[in-house]
Amino acid sequence: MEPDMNPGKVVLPDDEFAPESPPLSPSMWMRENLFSNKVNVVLTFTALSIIAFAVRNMVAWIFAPNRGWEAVATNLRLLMVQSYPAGPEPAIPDQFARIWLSVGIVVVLATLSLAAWRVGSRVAATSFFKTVRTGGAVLALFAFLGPPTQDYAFLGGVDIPVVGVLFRLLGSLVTFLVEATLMTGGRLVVFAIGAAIAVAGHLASQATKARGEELSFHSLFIPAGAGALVILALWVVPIGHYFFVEGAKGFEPGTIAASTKVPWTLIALAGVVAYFLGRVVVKFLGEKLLKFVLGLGWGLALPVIVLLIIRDPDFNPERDGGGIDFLTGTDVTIWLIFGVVGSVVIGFLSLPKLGEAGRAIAGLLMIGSLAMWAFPMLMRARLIGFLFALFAIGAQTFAGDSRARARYVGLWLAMATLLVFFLGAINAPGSVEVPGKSILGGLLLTFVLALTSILLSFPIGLVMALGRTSTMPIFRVISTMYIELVRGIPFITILIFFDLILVLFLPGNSEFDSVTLAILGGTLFSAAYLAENVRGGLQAIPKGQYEAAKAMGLSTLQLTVFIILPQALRAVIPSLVGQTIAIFKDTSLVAIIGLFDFLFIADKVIPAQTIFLGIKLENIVFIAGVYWIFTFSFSRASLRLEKKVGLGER
Amino acid sequence: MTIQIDEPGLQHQRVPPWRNVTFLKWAAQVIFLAGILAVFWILGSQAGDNLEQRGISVSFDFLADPPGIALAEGIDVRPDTGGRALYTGIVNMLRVSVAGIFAATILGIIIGIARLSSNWIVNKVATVYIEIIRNIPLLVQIIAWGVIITTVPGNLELDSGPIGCALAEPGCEAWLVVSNKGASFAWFFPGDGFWQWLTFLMIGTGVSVWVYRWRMRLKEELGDETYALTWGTLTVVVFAAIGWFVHPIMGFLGYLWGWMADLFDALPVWTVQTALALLAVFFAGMWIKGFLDDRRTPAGLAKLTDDDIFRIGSAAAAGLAGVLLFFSFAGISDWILNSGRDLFSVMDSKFEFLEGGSPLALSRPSIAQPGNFPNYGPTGLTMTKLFFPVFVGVTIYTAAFIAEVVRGGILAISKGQSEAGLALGLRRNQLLRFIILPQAFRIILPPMGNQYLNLAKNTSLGIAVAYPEVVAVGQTLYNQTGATIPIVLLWMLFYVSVSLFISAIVNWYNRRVALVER
Amino acid sequence: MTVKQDIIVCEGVKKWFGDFQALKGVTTTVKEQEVVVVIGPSGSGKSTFIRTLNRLEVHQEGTIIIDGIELTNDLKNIEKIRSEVGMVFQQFNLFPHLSVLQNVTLAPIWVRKKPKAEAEELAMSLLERVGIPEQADKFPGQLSGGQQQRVAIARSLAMEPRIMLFDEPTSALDPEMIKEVLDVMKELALSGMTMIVVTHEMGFAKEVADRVLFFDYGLVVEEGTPEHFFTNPQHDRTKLFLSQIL
Repeated sequence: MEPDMNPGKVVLPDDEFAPESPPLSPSMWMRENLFSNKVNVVLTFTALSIIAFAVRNMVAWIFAPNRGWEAVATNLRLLMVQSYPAGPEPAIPDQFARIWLSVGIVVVLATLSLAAWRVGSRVAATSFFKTVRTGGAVLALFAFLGPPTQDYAFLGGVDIPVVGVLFRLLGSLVTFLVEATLMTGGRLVVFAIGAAIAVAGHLASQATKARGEELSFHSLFIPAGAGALVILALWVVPIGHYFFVEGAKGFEPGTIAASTKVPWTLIALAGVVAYFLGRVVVKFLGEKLLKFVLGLGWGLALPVIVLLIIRDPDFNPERDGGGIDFLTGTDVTIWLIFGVVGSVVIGFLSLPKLGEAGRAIAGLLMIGSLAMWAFPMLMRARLIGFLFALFAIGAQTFAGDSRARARYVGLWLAMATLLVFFLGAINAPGSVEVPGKSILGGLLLTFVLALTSILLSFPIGLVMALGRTSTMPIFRVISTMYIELVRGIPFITILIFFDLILVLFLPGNSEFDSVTLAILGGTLFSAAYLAENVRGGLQAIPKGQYEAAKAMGLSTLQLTVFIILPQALRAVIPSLVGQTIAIFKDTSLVAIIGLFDFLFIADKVIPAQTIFLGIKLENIVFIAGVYWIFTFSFSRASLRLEKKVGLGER
Repeated sequence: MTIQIDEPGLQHQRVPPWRNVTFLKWAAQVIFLAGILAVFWILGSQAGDNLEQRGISVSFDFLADPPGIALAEGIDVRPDTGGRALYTGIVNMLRVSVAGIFAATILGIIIGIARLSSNWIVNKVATVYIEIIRNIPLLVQIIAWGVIITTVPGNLELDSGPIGCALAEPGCEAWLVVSNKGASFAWFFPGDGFWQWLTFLMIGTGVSVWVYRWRMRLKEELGDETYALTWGTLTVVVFAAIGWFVHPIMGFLGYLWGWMADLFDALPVWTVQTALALLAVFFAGMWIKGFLDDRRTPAGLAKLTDDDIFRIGSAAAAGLAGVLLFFSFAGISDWILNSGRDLFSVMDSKFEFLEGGSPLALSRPSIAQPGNFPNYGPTGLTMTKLFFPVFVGVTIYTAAFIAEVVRGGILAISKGQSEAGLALGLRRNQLLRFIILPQAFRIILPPMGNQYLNLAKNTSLGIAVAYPEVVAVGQTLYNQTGATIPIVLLWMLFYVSVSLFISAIVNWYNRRVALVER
Repeated sequence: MTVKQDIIVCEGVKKWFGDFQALKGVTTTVKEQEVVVVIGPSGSGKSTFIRTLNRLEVHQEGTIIIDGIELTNDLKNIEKIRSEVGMVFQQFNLFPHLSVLQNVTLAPIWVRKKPKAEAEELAMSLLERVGIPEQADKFPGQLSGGQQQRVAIARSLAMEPRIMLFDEPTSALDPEMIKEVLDVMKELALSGMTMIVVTHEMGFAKEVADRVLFFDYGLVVEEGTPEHFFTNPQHDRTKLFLSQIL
């Protein structure tokens, strides 16, 4: 391997996936893994004290009586969607069903996909019970190591001389053992529950061991069961619920609020139903159809949810007098010109015998579409004009017999219609009234930023990667300069650039809200990194593939689209998932430029509320946990994907 | 531009330009380039109008004007020019980056090796560390550390005080002090004559490399153990020890630096301009000559393709652009002269020998005055509450990635090589020292460089906790002066230089390794 | 027999790679339905030579005329020649992400713009001709080397070329698979296809070739019928080469 080709690549050890070695007796296992020699004994005790120290302080901190977890619980909605209108405020009608609908759409699409791609495998009962055993043991350990009283002053005091730290560590190890035998109250209960789960798990795993693989169940039962437990807990566990009453905090005992548990239950039910429906469809109509529909669904999900459901564009001009009339306004004209007339033109351009003349016309159309930027014109018309010129250029290359031509024209018509519709929706005023500046906020904004940036950066990254590997020097130099410049500077400077400076370079009348600008910045930032990933995939393709395709008479465009990109993308799927995770984490930077994202609300908004003044670390810990859950599960999924792709190659 | 050469006797068909591949290729590129330049031009002219309307400045004058801002910490907390303020920010950024790189490397290597440990519990602790740290956004972590350091419970009136003496007692010294204003710990500080002593140390290092090689050669000849490493280390120690007492004799270097500073002061600007222009022409010429030599065969110069001609043209254009640049912007040469003079005068002052004392002295944090936490001073090394979250955040975060790099590098080598090494009869620690580590290092370095680069870029997140590094200072500065565009340009210039510098080191190392391989 | 037309005419073809001259002025002609075998030591420029014939490599001096069309920078000519000249590679170069059938139908559909059904029909008949119709829905990775090379031949034939170029088609194969590929090539030669074959298979040359070209140092050192070539070589270098490999 050339060292500079893919510097981020880390080789995975085989042992992570190796089958379990034959079981040892506990004492032998401990001798082998923990106390094999003097150094190991020291290491084991050091690690144990680190664990004890960390767990004790963590538990102490979490359960300290003066912790302001109420701030998180009361502000949960703010953290998730900022100030999206939800109830009792009389001035603004409740629109929260839109949020639930969006979540429901995603859940249904996800479970349908699980059915269509037959995700999951058989899990042996014994290995499942072993996991249960570990979980119980960890719970018991936490209770065991937790502080005996709630007002335990955790370490980190005024003065920490080095010697003092060691003393405290050793001292706490000794006191732990003493205190552990004196467990009372909640600590004892938790310990007992953990120990009981561990023992039950152990016994069950021993009992099912002999039956081995034959006693197994589908792995989807695990998340489904966990989900069911959570839903059940929403209905029975009396944790009460927190809310604001006229600027003060309110608390209602009992189970969680109906406005939370009812939608979640319905969504969960819809997910389960969708899964079985998907299975039925696969059985009777085949998986190809379902996969196609799902691909379409996932592709449209983001714009539909963000533009239509959450914003609810108002196409009706009479309300407030400021709307855009969808029927008589510019949109229909644009659609007629580009969609309908354009389809005819593209149909003509894709005639096989047109040959060179077609190319020349397409070239002229491209020049025309670029010239549109020099004249005052609707931005929508320019964008769609550019897309039209691209389609025209592709017409000769991607149109085969009459059916293929019809498909090509149909694709254009669909693209043009969707584009006109969505651009119209962006420009129409939203009918959902929101107190704040932006309709998106909180975790929702974080997701929209990350997903939109990564999706929009995809085509740009592809083009940049192709440019950087091109044989044409000017394309190569420009792509390389762009990629290296963007990769060389921190994301925050790019965000500031777009937030402050981009507006200066655009015509005076153009207006962008800061969310759009952040998306633009994120897109161009992630495009550079994406381009480098794709370049890795492109370089992995043997030269013979290019030569064979050329020798068959494929044009450069056809060769790229049919031969090179499919292979390159397949090779870089894992690093693309990694890139998505990185962008998801990086979106937290928009908090610095003052967007109301997940982090900003936790860091700046909640600590400024009069009733929760100064409560910050609790919020930060909470959002860190949420970030962690998403990124950790993404990265686990990508690891599995990598294994799958890797196996496919062999 | 086409490469056809008509030879007598052969009739070539004439190719119309719109079907000529070479022509189309270059036409597309030139049109594309023209398009991009046009876009920039349009945007630029648009910006001109907008700026005029909004009264935003694009001049770099603010660099020389009083900035009207104060910085929370740094070498100059009340800078008298904007340039000085940015320079302070750059120094702060470099301080936290270098400290972070140093600490993250050590922590990362420890965790990476722990991740490979056969000790189950050590292994799990390292795994949990990595999985938690790298899946939480760095910004969230930095903010969390910022909150943690400012909410450290304790006696806030007195800042801090060590165990063993009364808290407010003046002159009471400790090893480590943590309060809600920062953390301070014992550290070595350069004293009088430090630079002279450092010169000794550098000479000693050079000699020790020579000694090491000599002992290694001896080992190969004799076959006995010659303790090359011990010899090399001892050489450095001996030089350090001697230098500790006789370092004043290096004082003559101070005169040398002073003389250099005078020289830079005396040189007229045009000499530097000419020298730089000549250098540009020389490099362009050398490159073209090398390129042509590469294309020369015994039968004469090979045919140049259109790409070759483009490259030669670009090299020539670059050389010419350099000449034009240096002559049209005398400021560049002036700046080089000034900074050269400043550099040498600083070095001159460092070599001034005043009253003696040891070159390096340990200093422990003390509370000179209750309520006054030391910012910069001889009392221990201080991490302020602003420095601390950035430093701890980037260190802990990057260490998780470095650990994965280290682990990957060792694993990649250890598989086949371990067996081969053990088959040769090497012992385990020999195997690690002679076979695995040298090779793993080779694999590890490029991704390690990448991580260092990420760390350096990530220090810009210090803006969220108001640590005055270059981005934060820049932001304060443009809020004050309105010079957004110049400041963003300066940021980009600075960060691109840093990243080019780090990747140049990595590339240089790679090339060296590649040469050794052949 | 009627007089055959010259279908490939090369005159003074020269080619450099950087400072290395791979072809030093190759002049030869190939007639219609002729089978020409090119042999020579490695690095002699024989592969480069046949790759210039469909402009995978661009020759820098000299003239190549294929079926009356000169190979120049002309986009139209390049497209036309590539769809008339099929090529089979040493490493097969099948597209691993496409099934065998898709491999074969790709070019007819997108270059010749044939309807999909027609292209598939043609592809099946070609797969039958090379003897592996049952593998149509498999992926290249699932086939043996010999089968892959036969798919590659079918893929080239799907464009209905007038000339077929073979660049060491059997060099990457295990010995037991060489025969199945050579059999397909023999059948192709007998059907009247114009073929230029770079190979080390002297048996094939003796049996099928109408003419043999011997390449060395970027030049055609010697050419002639197989009988002349293997029994009575004139040039010293040819003799040396034959003595080494026979």
